[in-house]
Amino acid sequence: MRETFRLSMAYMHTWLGLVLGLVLMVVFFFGTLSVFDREIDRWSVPETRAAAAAMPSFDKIIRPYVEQVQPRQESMDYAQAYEVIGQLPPADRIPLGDMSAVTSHRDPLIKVYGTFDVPNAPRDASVDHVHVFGDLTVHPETGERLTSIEQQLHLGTEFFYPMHYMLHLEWYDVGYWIVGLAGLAMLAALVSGVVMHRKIFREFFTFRPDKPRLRATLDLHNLTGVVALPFLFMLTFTGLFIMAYFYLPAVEDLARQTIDRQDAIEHAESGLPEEPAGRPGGLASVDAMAADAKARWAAKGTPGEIGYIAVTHWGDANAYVSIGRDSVDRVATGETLHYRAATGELLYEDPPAAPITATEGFLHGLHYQQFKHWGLRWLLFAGGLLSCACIATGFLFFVEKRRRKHAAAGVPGARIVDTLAVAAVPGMLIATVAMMLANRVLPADLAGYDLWQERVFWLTWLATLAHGAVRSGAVGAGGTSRAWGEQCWALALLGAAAAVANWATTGDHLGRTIATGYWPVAGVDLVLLAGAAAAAWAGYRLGMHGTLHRPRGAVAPQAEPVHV
Amino acid sequence: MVSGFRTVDRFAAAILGGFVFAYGFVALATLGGFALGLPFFEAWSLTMMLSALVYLGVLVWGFAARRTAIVWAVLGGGGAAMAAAAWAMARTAS
Amino acid sequence: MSDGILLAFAQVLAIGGMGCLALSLAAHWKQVFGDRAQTRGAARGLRTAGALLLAASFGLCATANPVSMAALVWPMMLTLAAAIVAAALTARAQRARRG
Repeated sequence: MRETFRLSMAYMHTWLGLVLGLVLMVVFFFGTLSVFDREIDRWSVPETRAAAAAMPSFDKIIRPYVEQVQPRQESMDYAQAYEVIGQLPPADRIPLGDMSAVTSHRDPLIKVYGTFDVPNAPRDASVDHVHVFGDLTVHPETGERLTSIEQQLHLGTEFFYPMHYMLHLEWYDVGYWIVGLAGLAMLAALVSGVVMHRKIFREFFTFRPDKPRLRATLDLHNLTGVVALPFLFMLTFTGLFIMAYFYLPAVEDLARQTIDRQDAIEHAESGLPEEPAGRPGGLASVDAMAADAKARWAAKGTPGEIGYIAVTHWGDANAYVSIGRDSVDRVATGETLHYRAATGELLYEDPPAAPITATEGFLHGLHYQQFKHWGLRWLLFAGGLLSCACIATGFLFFVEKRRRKHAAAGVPGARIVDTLAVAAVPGMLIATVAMMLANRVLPADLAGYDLWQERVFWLTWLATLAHGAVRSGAVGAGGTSRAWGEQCWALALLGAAAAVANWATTGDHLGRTIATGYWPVAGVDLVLLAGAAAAAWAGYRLGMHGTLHRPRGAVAPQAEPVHV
Repeated sequence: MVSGFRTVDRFAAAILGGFVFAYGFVALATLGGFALGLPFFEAWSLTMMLSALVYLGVLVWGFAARRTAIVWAVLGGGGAAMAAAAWAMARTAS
Repeated sequence: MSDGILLAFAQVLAIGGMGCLALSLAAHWKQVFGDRAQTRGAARGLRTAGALLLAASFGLCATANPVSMAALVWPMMLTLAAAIVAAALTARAQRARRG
């Protein structure tokens, strides 16, 4: 019975891993990059290379812009395509419902977001209202609106991060579903991996690169999987948890009336109006409310900066202002005070979280990582890289195990998987770095500058797949694909070129960024160069030996010590 | 051909059956937790946290169980039954 | 002492602890000490020392950061420490074999 269970787990591990491993590679790699999404934004939009900004005066700097926010075209297109019945009104006719202004210890600019109430009836009967969204960017000191920055593609938060959770597949949210299924497959792979691994403790630290390649690959897969197991499990679990309300809308579907009633009770208890009154209302000084919030935090012994200010029911008599603390010193997010907009009196303070809510906050915070803790940020980055190594070696093991057998049988299976692995490992890295290089060398005034960066990413990735397929002949003959080594060299060159291009186009070379302590840009450059060096090393070893290590097929086992 | 069908059947039973089961679980456990006295939104949060683990558990079982017909019956049937029970609870409570 | 230094020490202790745990395993003991036999007492001592070092590492994390933060920092430090120890053992074994 136990053996059958192990076999069924091995079956699940192999095939779920094979089918969804590529997606997992993408999700984990771009998730790893997203740990430093704001820093990549600084690198890719040089106009934003400035020190982080505290929340400025709402009354002077932010308020004049609130009514200038308009729905973004992408948001309008999405709502039109999937959410509403009939034609949407023009963007400037859709009324603003809620607004928020956000900054953090990693953001140099203030983003002002608007949520707009669409008058059209929703297609999905279980949805109350459809909303469209817009934002604009304001300089925290001069109070100037930065239109040119708004229009530029921020590689970190606007391309790599969405890649992590929806693969840029918007069509019927299919990207979210694929990522969700891959997340589930990852949890299943972790459970089945632990079941399959016979010597989890005895071989905890074991990597034997001198063993034959099949064994060495499995060692590395096991090692990275076991040491990163807590990270892999927690990040996958929290990611699924964050999206669970989307994937499993059972309560919304089956108990809508209970939700509405409980919502109403909660709003009645807190005194925060759920719906607008429909009459216009004033807005007292938000700066005074902000000062009051800061004083209350200080009085509680947790002084802090403001992370966001939100106004719900903008311009309405029922409007209220929520002031949230920038939770730099804790994992969980959220510590918010709410004020009546018209008078500025405190309406409600979020109560200390009950155990379940506190756990929820911790799990969310663990995934969103908004805290100010650079050591932890780097540790999480390292955990992400280990996870990627685990997924990649899983692929390689699949190929390695079947390489000779498939070659002998004339079956293309191993060759196809190897090609996909080439595209998923060096190929994906090449596409990413090529996009960063394009971001620096394409002229920013080029028509479709953003679109071209995205095209460079997708086309380069496709090219690495084609190259992998063309050069994989050796796998068909039971050997190693040439594509690995060649793509490693390409990656090394591109990585170095991207760092140099940053210097050439902005003047921010490492000497300057390190000397002035501007770590967001210095860090990205250093990771690019370290990656390039690692790729060059791998390319060199692959070129020399056709493999990263020197297997000594016939190493004699060391003589057992004789016990006297 | 037969083995191809078996593979698809096994994956579908575990993944789709598991989805139906998780869906039913979310509805019933939320309303059940609420009925047992947990504040509604806390019951819901707790259920959502557990949902990934429940789905994982039944997925593993779906691959380990000997016959897929049983997997389909237990996961699909169980999920549907839980969803129906939750729906009835929501109706009667209001 | 600044939090950064405390955390650096915590990472060092974690590496030491993981190193002790690795040496308590027969295969790794042999990688490092060759043919010198590992006594039962040595294995037990290393295991205890490893556990104590890891616990001390958590203590430092919890001193530098709030406990809820340390609950995330410490496991990540252990992951990194285990990876470093594994890499060190591998490098040592390779060097030894190349002579």
